[in-house]
Amino acid sequence: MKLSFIIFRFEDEEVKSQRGLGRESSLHSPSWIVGSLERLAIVGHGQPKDIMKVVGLLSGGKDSCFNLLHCVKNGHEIVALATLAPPEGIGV
Amino acid sequence: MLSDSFVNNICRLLSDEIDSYMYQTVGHDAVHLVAEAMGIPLYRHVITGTAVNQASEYGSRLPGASQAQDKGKSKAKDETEDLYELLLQVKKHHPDVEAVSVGAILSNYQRVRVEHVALLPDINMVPLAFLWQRSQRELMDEMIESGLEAIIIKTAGAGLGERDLGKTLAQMRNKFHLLHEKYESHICGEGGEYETLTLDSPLFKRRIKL
Repeated sequence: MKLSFIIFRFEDEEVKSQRGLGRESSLHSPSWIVGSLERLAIVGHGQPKDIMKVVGLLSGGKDSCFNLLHCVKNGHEIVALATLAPPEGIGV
Repeated sequence: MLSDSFVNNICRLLSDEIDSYMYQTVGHDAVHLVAEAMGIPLYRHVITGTAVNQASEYGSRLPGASQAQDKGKSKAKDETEDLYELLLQVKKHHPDVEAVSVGAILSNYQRVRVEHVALLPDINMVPLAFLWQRSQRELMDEMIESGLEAIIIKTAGAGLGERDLGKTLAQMRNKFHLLHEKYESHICGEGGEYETLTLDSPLFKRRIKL
């Protein structure tokens, strides 16, 4: 089955103005950021740097996108995205 | 906001009894649009494992099923290799990448797999999983508040159906809470209750319109 009948398009020239990623957001709750860093230490990475270049595993769903938002709010730079694709011809 | 045709088409997909693999393909087709909306290059690796392995990623809808999945080590191997190939490809084009972002909330299967690959000497990336083990109730509200707009593109959980397709997280929030109280459904769909597609986020340079 072809999925081409689902038409996706981007918003017209009303290009989204660079919305600020406000630091005041509730996303910046310190408790879980610390928790996350502890977890990283546990798996043996040592102390992660303050600012890192990041590749984002992307499914297109809310969770992969929201985690990327956290990465940026924590000062990291997303330089690439990566996804695992289903084999050709299966399901389509 | 959504055209009737989109919702109808999705409903048609559902009524055709297509398995979960198919739904993932719906989402998969849109991944490159999400990447394009962010203006960041996307790297793909085609899964070499079988469709059976693929299905295990979705797992059961029962609470606690994610732990059971961890026992499927033999299945995990193929997918780990695919992830390794994918990240190796990224590393080839971006040797300066130091970290990998993963949106796992509850799935130990997903987190362990990513951590394992990230730790390999060839890859050597710090896994960043800011959502890991967060309260799904809080996460849902934070997602809505953050300006992330995602719609339901698949439903499989108790109390969810065709009428919910195309609805935004904000529109579904109260229903997710009700279903959580009634069936112990995961508010963020971590038990495979539903799947979403992100149409907009503060990181998007352009919004995806359907």
